[in-house]
Amino acid sequence: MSIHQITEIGSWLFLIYGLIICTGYTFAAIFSFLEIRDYKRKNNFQAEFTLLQSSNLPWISILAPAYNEEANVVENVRSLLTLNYPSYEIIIINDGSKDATLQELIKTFEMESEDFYYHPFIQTEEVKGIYRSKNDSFRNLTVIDKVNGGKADALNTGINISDKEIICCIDVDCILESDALLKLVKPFLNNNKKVIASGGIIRVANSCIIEDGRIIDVKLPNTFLARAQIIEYFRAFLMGRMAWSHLDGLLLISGAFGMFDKDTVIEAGGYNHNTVGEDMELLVRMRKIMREKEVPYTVGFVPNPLCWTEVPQKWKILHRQRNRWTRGTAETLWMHRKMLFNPKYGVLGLLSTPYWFFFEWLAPLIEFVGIIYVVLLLIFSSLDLWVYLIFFGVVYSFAVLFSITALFFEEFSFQQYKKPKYIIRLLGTILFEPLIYHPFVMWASVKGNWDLINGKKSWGSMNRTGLGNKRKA
Amino acid sequence: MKDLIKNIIESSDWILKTNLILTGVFFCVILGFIFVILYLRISKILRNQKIEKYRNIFSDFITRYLFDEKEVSLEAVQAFKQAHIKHTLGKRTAIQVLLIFEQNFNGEANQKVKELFVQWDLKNYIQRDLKSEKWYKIARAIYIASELNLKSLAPLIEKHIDSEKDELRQQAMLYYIQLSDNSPLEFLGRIKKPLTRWEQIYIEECLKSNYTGITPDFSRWLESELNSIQSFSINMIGEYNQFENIPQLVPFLSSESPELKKETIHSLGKLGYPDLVPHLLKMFKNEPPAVKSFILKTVSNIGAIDDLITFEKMIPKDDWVSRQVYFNLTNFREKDLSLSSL
Amino acid sequence: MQKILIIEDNPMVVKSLEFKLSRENYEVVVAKDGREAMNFLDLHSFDLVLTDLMLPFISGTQLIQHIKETFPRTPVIVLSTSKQENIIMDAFNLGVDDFITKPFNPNELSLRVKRSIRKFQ
Repeated sequence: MSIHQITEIGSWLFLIYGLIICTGYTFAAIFSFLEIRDYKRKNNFQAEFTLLQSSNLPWISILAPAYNEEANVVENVRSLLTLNYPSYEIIIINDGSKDATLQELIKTFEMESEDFYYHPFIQTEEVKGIYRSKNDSFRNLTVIDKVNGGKADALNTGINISDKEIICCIDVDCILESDALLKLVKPFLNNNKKVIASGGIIRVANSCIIEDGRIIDVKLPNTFLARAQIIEYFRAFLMGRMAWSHLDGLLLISGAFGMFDKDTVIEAGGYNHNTVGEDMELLVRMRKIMREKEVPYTVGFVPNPLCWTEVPQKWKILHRQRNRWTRGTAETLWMHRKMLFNPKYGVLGLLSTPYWFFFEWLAPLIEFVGIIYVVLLLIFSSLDLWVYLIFFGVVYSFAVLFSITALFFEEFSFQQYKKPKYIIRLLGTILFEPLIYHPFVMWASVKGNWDLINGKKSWGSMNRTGLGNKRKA
Repeated sequence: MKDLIKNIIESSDWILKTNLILTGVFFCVILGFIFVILYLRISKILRNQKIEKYRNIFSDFITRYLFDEKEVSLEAVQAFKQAHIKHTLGKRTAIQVLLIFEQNFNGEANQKVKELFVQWDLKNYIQRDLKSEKWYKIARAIYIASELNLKSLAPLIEKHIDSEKDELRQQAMLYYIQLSDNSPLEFLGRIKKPLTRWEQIYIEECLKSNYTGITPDFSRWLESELNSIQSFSINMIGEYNQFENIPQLVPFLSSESPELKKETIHSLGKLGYPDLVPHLLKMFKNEPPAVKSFILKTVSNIGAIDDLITFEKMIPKDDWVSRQVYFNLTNFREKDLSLSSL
Repeated sequence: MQKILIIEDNPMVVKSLEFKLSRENYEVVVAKDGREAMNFLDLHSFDLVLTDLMLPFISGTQLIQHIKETFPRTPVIVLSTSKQENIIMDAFNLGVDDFITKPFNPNELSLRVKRSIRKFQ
């Protein structure tokens, strides 16, 4: 077969793949527009804070695993204590930290060890102790000390201990809006179908001014890397999740902040500690079970920024994170490969899982192969440069279009970045993101797959600078 | 460059042509979005400035109208209207500001706010919105009508009480509750769509904060066809201490629905029904773990420690949920956590 | 002229209180949160403090405690949306002199202000 024929086939495949992506993008844009517009209309007149006096709002257990967080854990817990919701408890699970995390908590919140009765509804590592506070102001705080077992294991321990109906799994260093719990619990109470989980929009907290555990001022980060991630989060939340929620095909609720129906979680078997993508894997499994039981259910999504988290600002740490995400996605898809294209699972089988397979997991690999192919052709054949420029042009302009659409939705909905100059800078970031950020992330994904095949299983560490550094002078 | 383009156009390779066209299309849409983004941002900034200005002017005028010893004349009110409340933005801001005043003050000041609302012709504006096709305009108008106690608009709001659109239905229900003198929940007999928990919470809060008439007898709706309304009634009987309705609640202890059972146990517990513990003792064995743990929590709140121990003997060996709950109840200091766990 | 410190973040309520109370010959100073209030308290002495309980930065209870400790002869009136009994009881236990729930009657408020100031003179 001649080079020309290979190129022809390659171009056809590229075109088909591209057309599918374009169609997906168009639908995502339409659905997101409808969801956001609907949400704005529903929420622009009556304030919900009057409900906060109600004693009929369900109890929520916030579960926050902590590992080696001695620098920030007290600060984070203090922030959680100020949430505006009448009936919630905080359970911090100390996952065998090697530093003074537990001691800091015990000291600051006047905690003392108590007798406990622990039944492992889900199997976990051993629980060494349960602490509650002597001080009445902290009576809704519980600390569990256990043998190290990883994030999934820690969350499962919290699930076992909680006796409430609804659990909220968070990353301990996320900052929640003060009415986040009220907003996130609404889908559970306002639906005639059973709601098994709900999630919201996650925002980037880097460079924001934080005081007393609240975001006081939203600022655009100075580093290109953080800004590129902001754009990426816009795409993921304002278009991706919104569209999937419209179709009721959401496969992932962010591990940073998500609410679940505890009984369904236990029935599904809790978090799986054999994968690094435990947040996605749990939701997929929960959805599968509900489908198999043939009970009408849904997953809620609240198009409101409820949680702020710190994103990596160093390339090396970003690589580790994306490497892990790729391994998690691959592991989850493999575990649930039965669902792919399986009409028994409805939207999940016919749309969601195929999408994740082709366009989240496979895409970086295809891109990588495509780039190598193009480079090789360029070097070894005499085909014109401008052919490649045209291909490059199409891909680049589409990438920019996608990001700009996401930025438009941000403008249409929340405008969290108040200063016009921030928008200009974000526009600039959008122009460079496909050239610098995207290839890096793609490489991290490819490497992730490579590492997975070679048996790598760990989480790696995340260098957190902590919330405490961001005080106003 | 020109040669390049000529080359491409003359080339028979249609894939390249397609890609080029697509690039062109994307590029145009990008420019379009950039324009829209900047336009949205700038127009929002300008609009917010205008709103700020209006809010200041309006609140100054309203403050004078409410609190100045010198009465503000009718002419002044009309002149003000002519000057500032002609267009939609002015009207909407005026309504917003009036609402804030109305929600913070009662008594004479509150009455004056309502007068001003009518004198500024805003009632007509609301009426027009109520006749609109768009549900969100109607919902907002109903909300304003309930806050400002506009009884005359009831006929227009009537038909939305069982609307398909949840928000519309909720606002209509809240309107009826706030404006009713003695039968705020009369609509419960008419609606066909179930009442969600969220709506129930809103209705309860509205009854407690905004309704000023006689408390209705909730047992009226115990026989409703809708489970949600039954559940709501049972809950409210307990919440409002309607002791006289205890006999009607007792049969629900043997209801088929675990939700209704729990709700009944909760309410009877709150009302201090003396035969509750013996009843629970009889039913305990046959209940699923979820109801068992709920019974334990209730007994812990209303009964003596001996009662709790009696129940403990009946917990099956493998019902870990109930065992864990029992342990926490007998060891944990806080008892008040339990009863609200519905 | 008697001086009143008002801590309230709702601009309409602030405007109304300022208007009404200055007509009754009080000098009104407004703080929009607990921190500003602390600063003002350091600079002036007040004949009465009127405050909400839900304040950003410093909680209402902390502020009231501080006032009662440093200026025991300054009456404090709480103006709050909260109708919960336990919150009202807590406030009185801190030494608050009066508690007014929103929505409130401005005429009644001004009477209570007069009464509270008179009690301490």
